[in-house]
Amino acid sequence: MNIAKNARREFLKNASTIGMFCALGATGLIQCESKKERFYTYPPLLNQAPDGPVLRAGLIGCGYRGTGAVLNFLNAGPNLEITALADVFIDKIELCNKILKEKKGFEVPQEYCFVGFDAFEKVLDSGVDVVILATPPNFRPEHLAACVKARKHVFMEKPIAVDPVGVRSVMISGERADALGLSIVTGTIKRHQKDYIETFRQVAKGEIGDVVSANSYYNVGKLWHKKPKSEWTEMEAMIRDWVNWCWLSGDHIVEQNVHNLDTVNWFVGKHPVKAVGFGARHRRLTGNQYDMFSVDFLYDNDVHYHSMCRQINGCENNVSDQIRGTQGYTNCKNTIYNHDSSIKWAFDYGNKDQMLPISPYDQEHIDWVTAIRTGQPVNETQAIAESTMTGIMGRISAYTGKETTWEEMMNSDIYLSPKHYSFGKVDVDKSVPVPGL
Amino acid sequence: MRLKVKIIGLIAMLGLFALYRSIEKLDIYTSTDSYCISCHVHTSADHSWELSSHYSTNSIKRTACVDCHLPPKESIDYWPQKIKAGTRDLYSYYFKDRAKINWAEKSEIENAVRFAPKESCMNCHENLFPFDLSKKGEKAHLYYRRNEADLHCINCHKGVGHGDSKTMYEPNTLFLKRQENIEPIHTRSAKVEGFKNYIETIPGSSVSFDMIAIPSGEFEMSIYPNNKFKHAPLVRKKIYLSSFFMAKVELTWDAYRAFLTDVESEGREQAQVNDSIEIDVISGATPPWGDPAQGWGMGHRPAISMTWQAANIYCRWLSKKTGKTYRLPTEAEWEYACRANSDLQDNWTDEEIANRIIFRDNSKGKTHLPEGMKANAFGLVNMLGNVKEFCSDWYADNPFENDSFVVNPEGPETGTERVIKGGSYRSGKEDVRADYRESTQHDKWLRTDPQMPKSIWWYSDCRDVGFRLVCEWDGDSKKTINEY
Repeated sequence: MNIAKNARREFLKNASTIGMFCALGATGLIQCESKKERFYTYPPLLNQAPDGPVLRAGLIGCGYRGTGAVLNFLNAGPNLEITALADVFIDKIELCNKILKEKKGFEVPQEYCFVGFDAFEKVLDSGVDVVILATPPNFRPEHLAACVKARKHVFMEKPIAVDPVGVRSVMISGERADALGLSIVTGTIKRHQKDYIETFRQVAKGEIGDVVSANSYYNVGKLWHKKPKSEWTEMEAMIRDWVNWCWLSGDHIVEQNVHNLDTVNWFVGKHPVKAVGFGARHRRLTGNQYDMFSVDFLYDNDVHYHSMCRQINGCENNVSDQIRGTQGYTNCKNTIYNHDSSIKWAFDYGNKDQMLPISPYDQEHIDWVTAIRTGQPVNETQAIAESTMTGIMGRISAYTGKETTWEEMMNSDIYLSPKHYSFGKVDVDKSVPVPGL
Repeated sequence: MRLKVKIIGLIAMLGLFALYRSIEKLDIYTSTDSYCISCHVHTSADHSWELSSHYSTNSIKRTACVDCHLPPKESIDYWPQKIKAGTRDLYSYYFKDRAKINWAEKSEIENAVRFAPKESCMNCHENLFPFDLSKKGEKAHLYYRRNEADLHCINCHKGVGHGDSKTMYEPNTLFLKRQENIEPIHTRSAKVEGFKNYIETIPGSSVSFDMIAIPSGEFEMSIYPNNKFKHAPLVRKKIYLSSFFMAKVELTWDAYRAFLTDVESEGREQAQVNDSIEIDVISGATPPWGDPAQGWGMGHRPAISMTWQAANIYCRWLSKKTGKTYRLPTEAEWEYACRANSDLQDNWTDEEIANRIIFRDNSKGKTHLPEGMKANAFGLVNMLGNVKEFCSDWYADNPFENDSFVVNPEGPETGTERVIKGGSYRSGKEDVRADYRESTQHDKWLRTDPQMPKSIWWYSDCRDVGFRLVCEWDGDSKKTINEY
């Protein structure tokens, strides 16, 4: 395994490297609130990861996205294997194996399929080189800490926590991964899409001027729900219905809207310092989450960012971002506009359908494997931790009706999960939050 | 001709090589501990270094003087700093009276950061999050990581390079238990019979202190721009003050600990401060992040590191305990009491100053016991020294409007910082003046506190401010402007 020095610090140490990278346009430079400059290193975006010794991956969390992530990983390049599976439910593992069989022609042997809340430890002990974390996000902090301690490279799905205690744990694991030279890539796919990256490059070099405001929308239909069955314990019912329970998903402002929060934070180059939001629950059938949020985030230089998200069928849908600057505005995705809405710059896809050659879901795994195999670690932990915390800050503001600040979040003791995981009754707050109390 | 050029070139190259090698040798020679110690002007530095955790380390390498006191060798700052430090030391060695150098002052955080570059700490301690780091350490280092521009390692890890005491942080439960528990002896507070000095006793404790009767009177208060006393004052103000009592000495640790022990709260829950005047319960101070007494000892030394708010709550607590009205002095009361009608320090000799107050030249960089210091004409001790003192007023550069005189002024109605008056153990001779005024610096004084909400009870970065109690006297009717 590659134990590189802390890439970021080494990078900053060497002034001449900075000059060279800037000249090559390989690095975006963004002013950050603490007078420090924040560097953004672009992923290489190869069409395929380079060859190398076999990388054996373990998957923790064999649901829909976990199974998808494994397929994306196997697509990423040569000599990639999946050698261990873990989930709390045996049927999820069986379904994952069935899909692997159909699509890739092999199954993970029984003795490497682990079931239970401690299955992740067994995966780490099974001889894997890298780990894919795709459980509901409340488990992520504990799993990531264990992976880093075991010196495993990690691909982890977004978001990475549901509460401030979890986010800080992830930030610390990220620091440790830096020191160990581990590569951690997260499922915030836009950071691995060439159209977004090229648009960011335009913004970073000042094409829209100074940012003055931002809007984003994640207004979609409902996801899904599972009604509890009589043979299930409360824990099983909750985990199978996890996108509807705040302690498991962080609510949809965190679980789904984190994509947009992350995009805006990325483009603005920092995280908001305050939030005032509201939200409500009208149509959701299970769980204790809201189904809509509207949050006014504030960055330190008085830049407001309005973020809206909804999961209700039959309503106006819109998933997009917009960032306005003194010189124009952008949709973040592929276009820079002048103030009069005329196009100033547009990303050239090179095809009529405006498609990227590689699926971004594959691309993030290609970038991860490339980082590991070329010995140039990539660690996206702090970025996703900040974006997750941004969502949590907005959620808590909506739940309470009060203004919440970043400092409060960075020091909040809010922890949503039960102290111990076991199948039976679940000792968590199941009430739907009421603001203003 | 060409041969000549070649030979000259060769000689030049040899010369350059020799020069390079000799500079290299010189660097190695002048970087050894024995070289540093051979003439280092700080005579106790090598001994305190030998006692420190950086001498007897857990690793195979002992930390050398230059490892901490110069930037890392790769740094472009290395040679400039080395030359600067060497020149400074040589100059001090040959031309300065070493006995007169105030080492205590130089080792205070604000100065110490200049002699130990942060990148040198980081050069060895690259990994801020080792797996065996405690939870508290993780919290503190994460806070550091996100505020690197404002923080230096020695903000928290002071004393790791020199000395056998680590100024590491301990919870206030330990801080309270550190000193022997004296049996409470007082069952009631003092009874005030007439306007004369009395000795207050805090019920349920062994603490007592002198309160001095300060007679009513008037004086002229001058506010100078930025304490520049040679400039014309912004305003001169005639002020009349009613009688009040003022504590003879700055509030002692014993007296402050009586409060902490009485209202002690374990854990980190946020204190609830009830702002109504009729308070029934005062919730306890949360633990300080660090040793608020700085390891200097407590007892009769002035209590320090508490926030203005904590000092204010202390007064309310004491009022409740004693049935009197204790509060912080107003700025005018403080200055009036300090001047004591005629007692201006302008005419004091150096010896007089040293007899009266603890300030930079006699403090050795820490607070002192008040005993033995000469009182002013009212009988108050250390008004201008030992620690600066909180006043109740909001701070404003010019707090007075242009009235001809005012009665019992209480300062502006609103503001962001409070007035502090007096000098401290860190003040130079020029700053120990009755008319010297400053403001609190709330954010700056909480810079190193990694907690959130940041403590409302303890300043993490303020070691030279305490307070002095005032007790109200209602015995004589207060004059109004019309009566005056």
